[in-house]
Amino acid sequence: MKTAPHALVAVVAGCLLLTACAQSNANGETQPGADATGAITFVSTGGKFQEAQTQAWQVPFTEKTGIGFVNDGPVDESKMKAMVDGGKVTWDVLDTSAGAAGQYCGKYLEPLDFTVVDRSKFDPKTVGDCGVPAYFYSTLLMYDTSKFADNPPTSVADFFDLDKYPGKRIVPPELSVGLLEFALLGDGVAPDQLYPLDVDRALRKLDSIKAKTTFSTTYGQIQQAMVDQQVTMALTSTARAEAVLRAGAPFTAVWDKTVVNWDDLVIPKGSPNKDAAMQFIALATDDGPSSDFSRLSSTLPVNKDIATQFDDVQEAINPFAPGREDGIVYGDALWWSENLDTVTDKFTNWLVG
Amino acid sequence: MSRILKAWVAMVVVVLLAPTLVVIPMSFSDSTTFSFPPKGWSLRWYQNFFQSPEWVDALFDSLKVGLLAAVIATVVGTSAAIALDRSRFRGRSAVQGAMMAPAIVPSIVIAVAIYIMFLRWHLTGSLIGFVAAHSILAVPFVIVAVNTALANYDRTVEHASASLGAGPITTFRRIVLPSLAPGIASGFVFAFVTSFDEVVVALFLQTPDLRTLPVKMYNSITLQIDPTIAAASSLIVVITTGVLLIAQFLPRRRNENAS
Amino acid sequence: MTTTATAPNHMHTTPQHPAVDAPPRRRPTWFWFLAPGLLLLLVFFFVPLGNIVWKSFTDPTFGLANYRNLITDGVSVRILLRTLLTAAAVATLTLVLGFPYAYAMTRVSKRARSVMTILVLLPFWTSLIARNFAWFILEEGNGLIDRFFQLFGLDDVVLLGTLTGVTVAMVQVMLPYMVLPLFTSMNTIDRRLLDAAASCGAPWLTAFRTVYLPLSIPGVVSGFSLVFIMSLGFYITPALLGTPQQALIPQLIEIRVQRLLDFGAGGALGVVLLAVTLLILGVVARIAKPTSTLDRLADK
Repeated sequence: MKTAPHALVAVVAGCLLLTACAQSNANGETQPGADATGAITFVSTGGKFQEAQTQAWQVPFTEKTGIGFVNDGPVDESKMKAMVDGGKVTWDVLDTSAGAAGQYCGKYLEPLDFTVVDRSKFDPKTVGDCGVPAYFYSTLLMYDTSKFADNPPTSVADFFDLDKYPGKRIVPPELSVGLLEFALLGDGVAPDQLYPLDVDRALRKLDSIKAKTTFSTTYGQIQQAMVDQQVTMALTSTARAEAVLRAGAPFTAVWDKTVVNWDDLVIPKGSPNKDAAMQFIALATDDGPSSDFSRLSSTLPVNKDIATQFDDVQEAINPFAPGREDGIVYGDALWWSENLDTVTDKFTNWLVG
Repeated sequence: MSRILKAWVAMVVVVLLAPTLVVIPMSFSDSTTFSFPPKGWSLRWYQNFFQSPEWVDALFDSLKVGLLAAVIATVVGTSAAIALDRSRFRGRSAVQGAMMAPAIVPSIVIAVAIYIMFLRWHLTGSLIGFVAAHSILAVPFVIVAVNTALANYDRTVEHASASLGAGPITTFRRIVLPSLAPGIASGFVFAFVTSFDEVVVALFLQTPDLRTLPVKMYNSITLQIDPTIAAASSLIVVITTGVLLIAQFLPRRRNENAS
Repeated sequence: MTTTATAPNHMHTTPQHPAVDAPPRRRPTWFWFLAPGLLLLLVFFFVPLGNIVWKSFTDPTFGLANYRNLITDGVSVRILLRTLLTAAAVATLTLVLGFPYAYAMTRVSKRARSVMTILVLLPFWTSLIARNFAWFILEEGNGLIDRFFQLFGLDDVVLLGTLTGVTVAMVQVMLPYMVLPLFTSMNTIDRRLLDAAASCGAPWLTAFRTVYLPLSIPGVVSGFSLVFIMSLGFYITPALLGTPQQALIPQLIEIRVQRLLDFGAGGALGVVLLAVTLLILGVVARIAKPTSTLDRLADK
């Protein structure tokens, strides 16, 4: 009788062992540093945007080095932090906000090797130790022309006016792209007085539309909400705005103020393919791939001296077009580098309250 | 039965079943968003489900995890159920309660507990971690299924077997297990479905390498706006309904033939 | 006792076959049968649970800080109340829908009853995500529900992103968990009691109210508490169909743990949720037997 239960224990142990073996065969890159020629896991916001990054950056890199890519998304800084803390990093390159690159440098992000990445390519004000700018983009205010044809919104403040402009709103999933800045601008703060941000005042302004606003979890959600006309006004990125316009959705931008930021390419601490990732970042920020990407994604390249050819649709949403430059408000990446975490905490608590 | 009651029953049936049917026409939509009713028709989402590596991987990950978890849960649960049924020791009901505990603790609590622990143990995104987590969730279901079989099981057959000279192992192998086989089998099916359908724990443990089908489906609503989920949902709905109906009516026919 | 009696003989005779001593050895055997399960549960269930309970008292500082914050931050208590109310609403609605259904199940033929059981269990076996996705499509702007109400002139009935939408979807998900305990309990009620009441002159409604309903209370309590408890800890439907602005406790736990990486606060919320669950179970255990529901679920 003793052999039966002993056999039982053996069976269970065997099964667990089997799964351990199955795991090491099935999932190649679970051990950090295992595969030097392994594919780079590139993480970005998905959709056409990430396809453009694949096209403009990843394809040339693979041609040059033979190293392939695994694409993942969306970018979740908390998830990355958990990975680094847990000692098991599966992401190699992240497309993240400049604020996050500054905030997490050192503790969660690898310092960049500037012998591989040429620091002189970039505006000195935009380079950090752990991240270099990959492109400039804007956050636009757009409205549904089929709903507000007669008396269209003309200023940022109109976004917060539910009486005159009823209907649902949608805002970006990232905090540092300009949501709070828009709230303050809509509350009458002058652009040169924005920073340091009065977060409480911004949240109070957002209270006026909180019940009617979808706080999106991804950019794709914004795109879908606009295409399906589930919202009447939206704060969105230029890349998604382009996709929406090309899908034929009746949206137009309000050229009062737009918030311009740049995103960085960063490497999480403990990434298994660090060296290849550095080389990739160097290539992605070169003039050629950079301007290719801008053309495909309605963003502006790292090197502002390069003129990018936009077509009509892209020009319609380009805040740098002649006559619109006065409305440009630059986000303060340095301020966000220092305050991203505390502001995120405050905002999240406000959101669920 | 009064007409009001019949109408009420019909209404409840509609509430239970009709909403789910929406996924079927949705799966044939040619739009890239979730707008319903579909404005155009296409098979592209079924195509995408069977051709996209992410979806195929998700399906196989679910099957892999489900089968392994079901095997472990069935072995563990069956032996536990039999042991608890036949033994009398102090703390027996405590042990019984402990084995059923995963069914009582809210799944979100289990999920974060396992997630936080697995971060420390470097088990997030590992197959062994997934399987272990799903196994403990499935064990209570196996125990219940085997207990049901045990309740209808008469031990005098064992005494007869022993009196005929069979040792305990032989009796166990030849009498006990076969008699409990239907209960064990249904416990296995319960365990598999529990793992295959499990979402919350899987959401926390997911990594790009290991995403089960429910997680991929969840992500395609919240993160990616991917209508392939409609095709996946329709397939699951049709298959599980079919299997359930067959499972229900097949034994009946066998019984009818026997009688 | 047997061993001590035979011990002196044991010294003078050859060692006896172990099988003769079988009875005292049966305990270690069952121990081996239970060991794998207990080990599995210990490592992958109790240790992680213990860990978050521990963290709730020690992360980031030792003490009751996390629990104090729960009470004072103005958010957690509100969300807890919201969750309790929603769970109560779901349980009440499922009770209203399910009670007549369960009653009808006791009155029909055996064949019809098994059909009704299958119909109730079908959604239970169908993918949860698929069902929630279906409600997503139904409840979205310009979805079927919205268009249905537009026929009556009511515009913009978008249930998606509202607690109402979450509640409606959860009612469908929870119906089986209400009907089965109800039926199990109602099945034990002898219907001849109703006949007896009729023969005493009571009209049907009075007989039902004074005889049947009181007898069905154990089932009602059983089903209501089961649905209530499950609704409290349910994550998927609120996460998919709700919004962060109207978050329920499971969403708050997820946000604290995954988005804010605040394991102490998340753990504390989890402990509170678990405590409420166990409290209700403990109270109900004195009135009805919840485990019989699981048996009924197994008994397809």
